[in-house]
Amino acid sequence: MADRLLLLLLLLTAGCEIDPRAVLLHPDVETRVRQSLDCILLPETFPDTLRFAVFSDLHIGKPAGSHWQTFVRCLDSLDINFFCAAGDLTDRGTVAEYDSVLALFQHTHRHYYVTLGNHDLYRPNSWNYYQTRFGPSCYAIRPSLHLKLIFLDTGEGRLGATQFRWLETELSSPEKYKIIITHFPVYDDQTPSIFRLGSVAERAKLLSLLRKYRVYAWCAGHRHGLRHQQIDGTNHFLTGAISRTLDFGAPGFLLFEVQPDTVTWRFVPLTD
Amino acid sequence: MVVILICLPAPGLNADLALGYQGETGVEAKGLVSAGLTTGLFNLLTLDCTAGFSFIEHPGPAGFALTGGLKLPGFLSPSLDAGFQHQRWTGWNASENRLFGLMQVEPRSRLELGLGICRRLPEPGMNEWNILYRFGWRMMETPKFSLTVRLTNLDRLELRNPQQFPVGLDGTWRLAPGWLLYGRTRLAFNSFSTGLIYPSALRAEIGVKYGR
Repeated sequence: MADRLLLLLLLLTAGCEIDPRAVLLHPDVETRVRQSLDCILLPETFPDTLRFAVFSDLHIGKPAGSHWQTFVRCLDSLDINFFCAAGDLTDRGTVAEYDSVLALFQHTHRHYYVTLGNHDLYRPNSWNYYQTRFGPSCYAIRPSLHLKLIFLDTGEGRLGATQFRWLETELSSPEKYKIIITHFPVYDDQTPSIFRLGSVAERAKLLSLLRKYRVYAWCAGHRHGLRHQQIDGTNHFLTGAISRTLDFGAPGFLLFEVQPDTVTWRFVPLTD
Repeated sequence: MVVILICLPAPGLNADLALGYQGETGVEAKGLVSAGLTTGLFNLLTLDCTAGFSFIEHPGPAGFALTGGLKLPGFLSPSLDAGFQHQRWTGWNASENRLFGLMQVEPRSRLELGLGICRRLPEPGMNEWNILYRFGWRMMETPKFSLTVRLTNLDRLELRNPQQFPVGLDGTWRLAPGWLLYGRTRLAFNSFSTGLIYPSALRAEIGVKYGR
């Protein structure tokens, strides 16, 4: 029976980037979140005025390549303190791709914060590769007194029970600006699409939390391009992709500028 | 429910009442009571209205729906359903209105295939289009009993996202002339765009239907 199931999965996933064994064997979001919440993060110190970049969908390993070198030049020219990657760091979740991403990130000599995307789980051991290089996939940091960045693991297109509870706890803290960085968008566009969080009820629950706790922004990726919508006071971003394979728009990233009392954002296009 | 009791004696009307459970890990777990009325005209037109009330979580009205159907005789037995759904989650102050149309054919006896489109109007949220699909195969059918396997993201009170793939069984059992016991189960398997598959939402209900 198991052989037949694996054969069926092989046929269904033929030609895709995913290893069919990962469909059955990868640890689910509950396991990943519990392991992530056990991690202890050392707080970093940043100046009162700072800039950080948010991007997604680097897809290292994809033959088409990426705009990474252009992004690195922007880190210097725009004086960016740290950057955040909203998943799909790799294209197939292999150990070689993870090593490449780690080397690229370390070479910037900047702080970086990441979470994972669906492509980062495309091998049975992908979670281990991610965890040993980047640590947790679900955590929060406070770069300044009134700003909290919350990283969520939506690698499978859902949050799960533990992460939902943890999210509500994190959102209930008093920071004026709370920004969520994750892979899946709640909404992206009005056209028929499957590239959103899957569950209707889960989306309704999330939006009610975003409204209740006045979340400033939900930054996501999954689709490659920039989109911005405001729903009930929360900015919903598709942050723009670093990958050269775009679904729409231009490659680029979001730049947040943090002042002692305000947070502002703008899109920075990447052109070679 | 009062309306249903009043309408029960009316010929040409079918009334139903069901008790169910709807759950999704980390999201919600609620009981659901639903009641509906269905009527038809010349075996061509049908009109179905349903209302649901939830308990345990989101106590109160869970939604209502009104669906009209036109069924044409002849090649492939095509039919067109169009309707409106309103679903609400009182605990989250959230709701969603939906307008939909679904075209369905029966290429073989006991097999139904449907495709349609829906406009979602969530509050809060952003309006969007969604694809609808329906596959049904009546595996077993006797004068007393029927069992149908279904893959559809459109149900009477609910419309799931296209990547949720709700699979389940619909069964009926004739209790007495005019009385039918029915049951439905749906287990939604997310998801398509992630390449990773997992069961998410579960729905099960059992009910009785009366019609003359």
